[in-house]
Amino acid sequence: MNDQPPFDMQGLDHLVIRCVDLEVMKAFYCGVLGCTVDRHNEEFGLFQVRAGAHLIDLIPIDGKLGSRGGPAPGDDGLNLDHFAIRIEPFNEPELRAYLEHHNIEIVEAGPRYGAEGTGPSIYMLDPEGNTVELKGPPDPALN
Amino acid sequence: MGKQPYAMKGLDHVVIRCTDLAAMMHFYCDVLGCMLEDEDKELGLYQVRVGNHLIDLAPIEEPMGRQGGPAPGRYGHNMDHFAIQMEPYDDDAIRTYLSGHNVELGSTLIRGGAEGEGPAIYIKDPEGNTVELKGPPDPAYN
Repeated sequence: MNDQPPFDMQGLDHLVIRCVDLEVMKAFYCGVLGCTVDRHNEEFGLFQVRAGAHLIDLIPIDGKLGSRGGPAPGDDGLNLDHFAIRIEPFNEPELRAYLEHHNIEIVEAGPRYGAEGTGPSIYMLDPEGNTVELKGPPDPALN
Repeated sequence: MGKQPYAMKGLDHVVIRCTDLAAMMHFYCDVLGCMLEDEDKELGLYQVRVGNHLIDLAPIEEPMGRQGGPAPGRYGHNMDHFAIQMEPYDDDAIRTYLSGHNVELGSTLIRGGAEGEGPAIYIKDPEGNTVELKGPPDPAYN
């Protein structure tokens, strides 16, 4: 078939992370990163937090949805290498001070290519070892 | 220390570790309609555009993907699935189109997304990652 898809894609809507300790993950995504609670469906084991225009869903592996995916994710062999959240402003000294205050280690930093162009990024691990990139606006000097 | 020194705008990209880059590119680009935007062969990172965002593919045999160890298995994923917003959302047309490309389709369900409750179809990419194709919120459910 050489036809065109009968749709346009606007972009990402949400991503769903399988987790072991929901409370610890909530403390990180909401308490540290600043996501807000959008919805919580206890029956399905689905906890949805808002990151700007989009959602990050957390599903505990012992819940109805999470258990479908089998065991807990391991230390390696993951399907998601990392994901990036676009933030603004990106004031690196302030970001570093803020994360350090919360005992979050920055594992990598530097300009990276993202959906809006090349701009500053810092990388950290969430409490269960998922790599999260905080991505600043594109830097005119690099684009 | 109080509030975050930033506001979150939303997701920017997801990076998927993969085994067979050609099969994954065929699925994301030829079938779903993403466009290859940037590739860093030294790092082993292939970035395809999905609307306002990117889906990045990192083959596990290349430097970036290799850092994450072995290939993901069928179970034990850290990412259960991710969802792409699409519009228009013509369920019949989408089903006919994807069936024509031998994509296996589950039923259409009403699911909550970032903009509210709306129709969603769940499919698998060639390496078993679940992709949700999400229509706009349906006023009947919101």
